[in-house]
Amino acid sequence: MPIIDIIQSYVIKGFIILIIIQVMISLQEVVYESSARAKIEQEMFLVASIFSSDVRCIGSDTITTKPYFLFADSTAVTFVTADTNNFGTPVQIGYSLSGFGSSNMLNRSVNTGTPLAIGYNIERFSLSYFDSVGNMLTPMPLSAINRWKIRSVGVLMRMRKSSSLSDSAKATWQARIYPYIL
Amino acid sequence: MSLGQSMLTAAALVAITIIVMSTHRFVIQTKEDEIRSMAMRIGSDAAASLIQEALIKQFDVNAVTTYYQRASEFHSPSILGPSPSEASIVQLPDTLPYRSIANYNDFDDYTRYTRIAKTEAMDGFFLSCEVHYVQHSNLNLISTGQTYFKRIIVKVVNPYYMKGDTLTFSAIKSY
Repeated sequence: MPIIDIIQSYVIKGFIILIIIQVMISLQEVVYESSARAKIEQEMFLVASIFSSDVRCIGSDTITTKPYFLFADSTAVTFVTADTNNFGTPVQIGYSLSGFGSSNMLNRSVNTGTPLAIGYNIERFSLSYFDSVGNMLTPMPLSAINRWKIRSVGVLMRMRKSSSLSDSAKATWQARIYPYIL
Repeated sequence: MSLGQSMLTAAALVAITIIVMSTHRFVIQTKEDEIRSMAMRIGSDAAASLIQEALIKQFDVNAVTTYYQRASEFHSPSILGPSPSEASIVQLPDTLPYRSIANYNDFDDYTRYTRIAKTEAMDGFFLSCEVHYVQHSNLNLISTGQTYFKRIIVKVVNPYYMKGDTLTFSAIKSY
């Protein structure tokens, strides 16, 4: 076999190995991103379920301290719900962000208890409040007069996969929640 | 290079091409599945918001709270839907900001209601509603007369992200 043929065969062999390696890397990336996205979607679903459930239970016919929203801002809210923990009294629930930048945590507090993180790596948590005809209430934080008018809560939340190397593993939740009693 | 070597090289290149094409197909299919599942979740959220909006409206335009009404006092099944004045304000399909929130006052106004929903992540969701009276004994069966229960059915489609898939949700409102 002439030397030129040997060189050609090595070049082709190297080319083939390179393609196979690239294909394997692409597949690994796809699998990694898929699993990361599935995980972040699950985490988002959990946080969304807790938040929706709380907001839908806002209001109680056993208290007189209206408005039910004690504090309403674009990234934090405190409100009173029905006796959801079955202690015989209305429950005060608060949500707020802590942390820095895209490493924000969403904290939930119950009555005077210590706030506990229910969601991590929150890139965005934006709340908006609407009156009975769907007009957005402003300015933030809402005054007591405007908190009386709240009939629905809009939420936009975006989470990213923790320790993800790429920015592609993100999940966004956007919803309008209507409390049962308002 | 002999003929045998050339044929082997050509076969290897064909095999490589097939592998690369299969990989590309797998990657594209995976991405499509991801986008479809994301669209389904966002569509579900849009439907949930619409159902919650409808559920806070009163049961019927004739419903009162001063006494316990007979079911026959409610709107007939044949005329469920928005009044002419409501229909003139809420042009269908409804788009942001949704006029149904302020102008529909009872649950069955959402009969034949349609809405185009969009979110920050995706848009192009088309929601359509139907409202029926349902039977006391079986809430899955449509009633031909008035009852104390109405059911809303919301269907969600997205021609771009959920090709051919239709999400269907329903909820019951009682008097």
